[in-house]
Amino acid sequence: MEYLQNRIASWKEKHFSEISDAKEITHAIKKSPLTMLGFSIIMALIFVAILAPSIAPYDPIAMSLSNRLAPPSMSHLLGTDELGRDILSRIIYGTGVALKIMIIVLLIDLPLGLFLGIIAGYFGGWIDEIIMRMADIFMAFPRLILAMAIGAALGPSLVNTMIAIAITMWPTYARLARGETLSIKERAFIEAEKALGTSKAKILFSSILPLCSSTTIIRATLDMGDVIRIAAGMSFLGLGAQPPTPEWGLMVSTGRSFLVNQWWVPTFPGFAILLAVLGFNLLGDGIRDISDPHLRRGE
Amino acid sequence: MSEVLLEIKDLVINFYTYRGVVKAINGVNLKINKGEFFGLVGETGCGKSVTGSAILNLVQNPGKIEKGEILFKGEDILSMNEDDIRERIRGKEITMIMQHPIAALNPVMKNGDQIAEALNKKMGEGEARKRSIEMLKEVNIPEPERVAKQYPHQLSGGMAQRVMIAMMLSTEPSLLIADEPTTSLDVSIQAQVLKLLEDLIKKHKASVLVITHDLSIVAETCDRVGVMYAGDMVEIGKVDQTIYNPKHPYTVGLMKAIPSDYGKELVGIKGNVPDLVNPPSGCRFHPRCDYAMDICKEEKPKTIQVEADHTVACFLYEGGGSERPHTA
Repeated sequence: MEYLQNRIASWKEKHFSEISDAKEITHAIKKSPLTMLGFSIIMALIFVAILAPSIAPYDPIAMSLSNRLAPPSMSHLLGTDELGRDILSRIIYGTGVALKIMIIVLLIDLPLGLFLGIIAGYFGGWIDEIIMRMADIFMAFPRLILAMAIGAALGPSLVNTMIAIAITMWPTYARLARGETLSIKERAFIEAEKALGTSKAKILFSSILPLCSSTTIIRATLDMGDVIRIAAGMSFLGLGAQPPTPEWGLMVSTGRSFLVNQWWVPTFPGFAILLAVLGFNLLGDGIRDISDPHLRRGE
Repeated sequence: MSEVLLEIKDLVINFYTYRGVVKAINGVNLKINKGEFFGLVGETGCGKSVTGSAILNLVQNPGKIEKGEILFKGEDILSMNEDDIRERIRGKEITMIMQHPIAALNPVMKNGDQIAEALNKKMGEGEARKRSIEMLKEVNIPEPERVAKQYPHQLSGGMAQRVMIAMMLSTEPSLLIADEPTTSLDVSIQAQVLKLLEDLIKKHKASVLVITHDLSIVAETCDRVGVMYAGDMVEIGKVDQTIYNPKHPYTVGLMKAIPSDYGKELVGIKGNVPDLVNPPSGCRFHPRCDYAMDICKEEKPKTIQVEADHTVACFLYEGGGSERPHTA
């Protein structure tokens, strides 16, 4: 027991700066109720996504044609859809699909954008021109339109949706990383490293990359809501998830013809999209404010 | 005569800017001997720092080394290829201390790791770590183990400069370039840092090139000094000759401009530093010089030896030098 306490004490001492950072961040989150709300929504979503099989009352794709379009009741809390599937269960399983899309898209985008951005910024010249003009071309189209075009060209499926969204999003990160790199590479410590004979690759990846990544990651948290929205939009248009996948956009799409008489069919999945996008946006804004000392209020 | 470690021969550097070609360095010659403190002084923009970075062949765009040789231990650095310089010269034979120590340390790396990284080329990781703590001890940092685990922003300016010195001396270089090493430090810390630098240099048997605009630092620490004006080396000599018995009108002017005794009037040098896109013809100092002659406007003065180990580039000393300007 004493040994364990000693171990904990020494660990605390060793990681003192990390612990105080974490304390400061939780303090800042607690001070902003909206960030707190966003954070709770996201935590709840993650929780629901992981526990979906045990908390969903029904199988999300089990049909029951005798019980189709049943209004919300005690046995089906949010009613059933046109094939008699339980809407609550489908929304619960849909959470995992939405989060999976978002995470995979950002896992492709962030490293890609960061890598291209720091290379463009550091080397400049024609490498910079090529990468940034490519980025300009992608940014010239509205994101959803471009994602739809690419998605349609690749063929409708969930994987292709992720690829399409990822292709439209890297330019934002590349631009940010490039801008940061341009200012970082002029700083004295980069010159000092050059004077020490550090190789270009090492300067690029061990000095510039970590300094660029914080801004880019914060930008990514602001984009999380967007990714979910675009993915839902593409599924709504029939380019994303295919039936019978429990995907929110798809559910709104198939339910929209029942809006007048069986309002619960499209409305509840719509609320789910709203809640998720709102949660990510609130959290993203909060993280941005916390990471920017100028915007920290009342301290 | 002591052995020559570094010799700069007829160095010419131009900067190609949108305003035109800035003739920043106009044929500089310089010798640094083994184990010596060499001071390079001059006003802001006269080319001291550019000369410093040229020694590591790190002149930044749009600057370009047009001409000249930089012989380090007899080898021309400027004709070596980039990989060779990186592997053999930078960080090994020649290292550089920067002006703002906190800015010159990588903000996302722990102090100890930075020193260890400088050493990585020479030894394994574990050994480098041990050596970095030793180096921190050597620069009189209290609790070196703790400081090694801290980040640069947790240090004061003086501490950061000592960490920098530890880092730059850890690889046992034979030449250390100190570009304004004490400018951002307050006076009491300046003295400490300079004293430390002097002691360590003696211990590690390195030479130092101190780039500064502060003549008191030169007078205090250096063995020899070079005075630069607008890209020209106007006077080189032992410190006691050059500082206390200056020959070139510019050096004389600099000495007069230092506040010394209370109540004594300060005399500045009239006029301003010339625009180096269109530098003055002949001697670049002639428009501001009290002793300017006709020949100064037409020809660039040659370097003349006035005493043993004391040269000056001025027509006043052509043929014996009778009209020498008086000292303050």
